[in-house]
Amino acid sequence: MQGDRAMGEGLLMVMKAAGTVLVLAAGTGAGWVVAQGYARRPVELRALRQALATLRAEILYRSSSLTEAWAEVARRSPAPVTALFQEASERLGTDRAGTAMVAWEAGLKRLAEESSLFPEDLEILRHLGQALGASGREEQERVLALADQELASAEEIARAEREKNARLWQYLGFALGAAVVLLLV
Amino acid sequence: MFGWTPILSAILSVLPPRVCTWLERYQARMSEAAGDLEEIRLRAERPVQLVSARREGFLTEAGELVHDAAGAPALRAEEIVETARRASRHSVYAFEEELRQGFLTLPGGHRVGLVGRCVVEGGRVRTIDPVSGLNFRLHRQVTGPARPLLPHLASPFPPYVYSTLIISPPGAGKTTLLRDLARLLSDGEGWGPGAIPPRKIVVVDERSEIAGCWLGVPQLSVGSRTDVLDRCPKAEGIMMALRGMAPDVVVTDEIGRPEDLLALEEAQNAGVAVLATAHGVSWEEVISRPALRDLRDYPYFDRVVLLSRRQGPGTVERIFRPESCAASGSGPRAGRARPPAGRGRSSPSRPSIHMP
Repeated sequence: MQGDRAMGEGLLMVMKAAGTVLVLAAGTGAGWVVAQGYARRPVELRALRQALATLRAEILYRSSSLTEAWAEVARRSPAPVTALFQEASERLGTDRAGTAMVAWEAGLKRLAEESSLFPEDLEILRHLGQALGASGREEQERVLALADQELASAEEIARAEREKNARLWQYLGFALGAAVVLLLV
Repeated sequence: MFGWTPILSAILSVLPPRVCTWLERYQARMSEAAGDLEEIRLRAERPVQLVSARREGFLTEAGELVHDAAGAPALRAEEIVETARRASRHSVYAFEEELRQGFLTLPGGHRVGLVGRCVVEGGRVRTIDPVSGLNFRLHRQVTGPARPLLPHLASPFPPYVYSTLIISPPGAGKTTLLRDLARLLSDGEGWGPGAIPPRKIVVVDERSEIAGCWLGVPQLSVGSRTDVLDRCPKAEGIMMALRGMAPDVVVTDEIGRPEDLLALEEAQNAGVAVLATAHGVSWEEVISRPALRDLRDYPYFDRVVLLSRRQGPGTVERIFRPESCAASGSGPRAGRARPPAGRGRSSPSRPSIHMP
């Protein structure tokens, strides 16, 4: 009887220890995921700006059609930026009744799913999409420059936030896990 | 699907989806007669107009043609804008110059005319925005109409092509004839006795009407030995061709500016024949235009072909040697650029040549 109780308490201790580790790991992990988002965002914004520079060259110097220009940018861009241009290019090439804006929106949806970009970053791209292909070279140059400018300031803010928030969220995750453990124990 | 898909596929991929459905019904209803469609005209807030050689009217949802515009559904303004965007492959920046000139060319050589609000900058149209009307002109290559004319416009021995001006009112087939001439002269009939040998041709196609180029590649058959300068101003294009492409014949359409005649003169000095067209109903009318007045006195052309629609498009009314050529040097500019020997002008004057 005594042996059974000791064994039960031992098992409980083991389970508590395992639970503590799990909760701490989950908290740290959650913090790490959020922190990674902050770390990835400026990198993705920089990749987006490079993609727009390629798009600018395709539009202004090669006069490629939008489908071809997007496909070329998709080919040259890293993930997840490539998803935006690949989806948009495929959509515009196959959907005969579709518009460039609809294709671009589909690309943005995929980008939102696959990237750590914030809604305000996507909004800059949405504005750009409304003008892409719909006007002459001068106007295209202007809207691309404007989008680049906006993405550059978003990138700057994202870098500052990364410095500030990435480590904070890592600590916060661990601390949250520890708080939960203390509450439960 | 469509019996006329090979001809219309490029246009169908651009038209609003509901218009495609109506056209399918029109085709099913009209059967063979639908094949002679010449124009599909789209206008904002108004119904679709179809034009063919034998009929014209507004397209209903059931695919019928009615004469009263109120009896057919109107298109929305945004459908016209979207159609124009599709026609420009969603890339207005890539077609700025074409939009400025008021037309686009689709794969297959079909031409889309555009109207709407013109954005003017410095007295020049910068673009059309928004587009409120489109005219899809269906291209069907007609091969063969130039064959009966060939013996009058080229000689097998010595191999020689007469500089020829084709005059006709709009819609009488002068561009079709010019394209077919370019094709026949380019492909030739072999090198045997009596056969017209193939020639090197350069087409200076300012309005993409002769070769119907899409991305610079001819969509209509203009012959295997033909090079095309697409959307190139005529005078400049003729000079470019003379400098770089060593043609036997330069083909161009719609001459009408003073600089065009200067370029013709350069071609003549280089011993290159020119086939050209001009709007008009008679030789007298053409040479009465201030810019073309020199044609009266100077032998720019060895032959003039007069077309009309009397028996349908492409009716050849007359082929003749213009007086300037027949007089062979009586004009004030006759001292310049004498025609080279053996180029036909030394033959006895024959003011009118009858068609077979």
